[in-house]
Amino acid sequence: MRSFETEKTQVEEFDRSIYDIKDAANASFEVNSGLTPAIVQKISEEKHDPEWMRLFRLKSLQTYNEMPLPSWGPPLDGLDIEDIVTYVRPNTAMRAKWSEVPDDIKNTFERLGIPKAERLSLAGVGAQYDSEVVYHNVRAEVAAKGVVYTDIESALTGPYAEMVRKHFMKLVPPTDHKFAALHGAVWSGGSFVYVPPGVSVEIPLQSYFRLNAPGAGQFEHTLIIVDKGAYLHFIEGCSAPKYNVANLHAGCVELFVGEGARLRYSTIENWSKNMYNLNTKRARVEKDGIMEWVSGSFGSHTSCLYPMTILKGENSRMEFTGITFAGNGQNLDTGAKVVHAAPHTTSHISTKSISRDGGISTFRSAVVVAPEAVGSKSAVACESLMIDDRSRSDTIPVMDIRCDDVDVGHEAKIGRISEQAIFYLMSRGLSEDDARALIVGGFAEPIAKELPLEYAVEMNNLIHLEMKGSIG
Amino acid sequence: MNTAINQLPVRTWNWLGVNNVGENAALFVPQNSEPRFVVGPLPAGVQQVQVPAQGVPQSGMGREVDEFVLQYANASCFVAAEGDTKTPLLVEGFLDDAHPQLVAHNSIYAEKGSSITFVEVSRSATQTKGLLASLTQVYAARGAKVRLVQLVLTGDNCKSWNAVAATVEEGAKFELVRILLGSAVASAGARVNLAGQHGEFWLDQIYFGDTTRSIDINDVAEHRGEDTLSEMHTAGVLAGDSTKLLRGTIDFQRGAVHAVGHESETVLLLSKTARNKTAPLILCGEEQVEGQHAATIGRLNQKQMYYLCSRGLSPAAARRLMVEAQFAPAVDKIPQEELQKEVLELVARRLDENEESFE
Repeated sequence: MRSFETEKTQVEEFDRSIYDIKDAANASFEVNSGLTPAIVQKISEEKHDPEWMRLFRLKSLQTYNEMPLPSWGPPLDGLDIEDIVTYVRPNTAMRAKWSEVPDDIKNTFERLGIPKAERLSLAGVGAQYDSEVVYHNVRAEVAAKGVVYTDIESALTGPYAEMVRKHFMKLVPPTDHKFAALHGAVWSGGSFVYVPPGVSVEIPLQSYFRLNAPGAGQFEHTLIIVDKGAYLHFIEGCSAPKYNVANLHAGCVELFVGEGARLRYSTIENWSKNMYNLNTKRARVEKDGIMEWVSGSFGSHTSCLYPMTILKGENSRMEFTGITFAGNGQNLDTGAKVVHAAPHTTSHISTKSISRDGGISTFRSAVVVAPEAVGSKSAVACESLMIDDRSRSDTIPVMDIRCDDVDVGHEAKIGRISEQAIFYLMSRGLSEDDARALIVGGFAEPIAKELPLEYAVEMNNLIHLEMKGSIG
Repeated sequence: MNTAINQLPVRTWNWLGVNNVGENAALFVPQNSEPRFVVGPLPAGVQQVQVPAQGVPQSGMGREVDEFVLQYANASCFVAAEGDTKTPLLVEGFLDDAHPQLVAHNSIYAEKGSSITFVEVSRSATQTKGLLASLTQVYAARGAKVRLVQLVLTGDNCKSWNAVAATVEEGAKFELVRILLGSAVASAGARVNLAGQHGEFWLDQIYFGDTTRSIDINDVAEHRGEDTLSEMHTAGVLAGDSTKLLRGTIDFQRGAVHAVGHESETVLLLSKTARNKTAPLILCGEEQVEGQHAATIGRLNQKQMYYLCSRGLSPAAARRLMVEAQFAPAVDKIPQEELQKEVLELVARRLDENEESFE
């Protein structure tokens, strides 16, 4: 059992030293900052895009220029796209062996524990450094089952080219919002996964995104197709060292969950605090399919992240489990969206947020039940914990119900530790401080247990604390 | 288009259509007509005054509606209460073809330690295409108790705006009872500034949407004082092709130490084509608070229905019983029995009219 006596009486800032080590900028190629048709053309040429993709990029750029910035959400004043370098190619081609990756890049991933995790607990790893994937490998036995796990550029011209074309930005069209349009214009890197019917990938795949170049943007595209009756657990990690200039992450994740299939998508986002993380994630789930999201948002200066699930097939379901930890200077606007578009669909959204030291955390959600979604059920629960009165915590849920045969519940809570619970624990022999620490430790527990082990340890480092006057 | 009516205190995705009402108050410039507006006998301790209560915030419906009422008001009732007034003050408005518009500016100033019940009822002739717009400003001084009961019983061709703005000082209590049973388009919004320590705001609200009725609500409890309390509870029925949007916000501002806010909504959906939107916000800038929200949306509980029917009630009687039970916390706070009866009869009639949607 932990010794409470040695714990501190405040929430500590997370030790970011591992993440903040910078490599010297050593790109083999980068475009000028800003966004013009010439820059988009140049990116397309450098990446040897098929013609349809070149046209897609230019059309997306046009959409980007026509769309206004969102009229809601955190301020984006500190972000000027004219200052952002949208494409930085690292000084290496993609490798399938870590030994062939240049030392400086390899060492960065070593420090982040990626190769070790691959050896111990992953079925495959993709590692992106700035705008390009530098390493991709999948275990032979997994590949033998027909599982495809590759960088998306290779997929775009390889045997799965038609499949990629059929799905690319179909769930998140560039017209969705301004930063989806930006992504459509300058996307680079990311992963493509295809799990054939009935195949269960027992150990997870992981993609790790590292942005090293200052003032750069990362726009990776992740496309995952889990076919009928298949199973996959995919882990996404992201980090960057801290610079004094704004960096931008506007990735896009599109997930297709086939009939009776199940996909678990875990993310630990730990960007540096100069990062604008404006990421879009969306899943479409067919009949009897299951989509599970686990999402931890710890880093970045500003985040707008609301994974969306479209329950398209009868009896499909989704679960979203999320935690957001907003510290000094951070404005983290996170949550989830779900559309029930078929009968007997189920959604369960459960989130926790912690704000400390002037941090702002906002939970935002949308539950839409379409007229055809008879017999559907939805439950949303969000709990917020404020550590001090300099911080903010807002809860903005919306429900739009267009069907009478539904069961929709929503609960939101913000408050202090129950005095009764403290009294009870003290009556069992704990000191008051121990009792408070125990209750606060329990606050994040339901989320921690959903995380892969190494991330749960990382999160516990964050929340190994004792505090007074908070929520139970 | 001006879009400041019933604005959500913090905006969210535009595609959800909850950020505000898409209408423009300036389009409803009233004719210069005499209103039918009757102020009942003043209870002992209540007197009419010339000036409305000062120091109240903008209403929940927003500046645009407030300015509209202040500019075009054709009726008003400003009162001040002293001491404990036992009997309620009844203010009635009526719309008919000769008096199709009522723009009423009402104000209640409750002196220290006083108590007052103010009942606003609006009705109309069945076919009249009318507009009812009201702004009621409330100032509850230290230890005062104000109960404001608003009954919107206007007909199906009317549009109504019921805006409320209140300031609640130390130890004072403001109760708002809102009964939304009328108008084709019924909008309402209250903003309550809980300024003083131990100030309280209680909202009990019911609505019944049927046909193509549209109901749009924006209530905000602003906790500024320490140990303040807000209890906002709504029960509603949606039938036919009706739509309803309830925005309810508990806003804990910095310094509102030990404030407590609870909000709940129960929505009974009686039709496949009704549409319910709910946006319950909790905004928090203070650590030592307790805020909670809960919403339940769905059909009548089938187990309870089965039980009641097994005890000999017809399905219609069982439904009526269950709806009345949900509406009781609000209806019970209407001080006049005849008004309670009128509300319950109207609810029963609406249920009967929508009988076919239950089958």
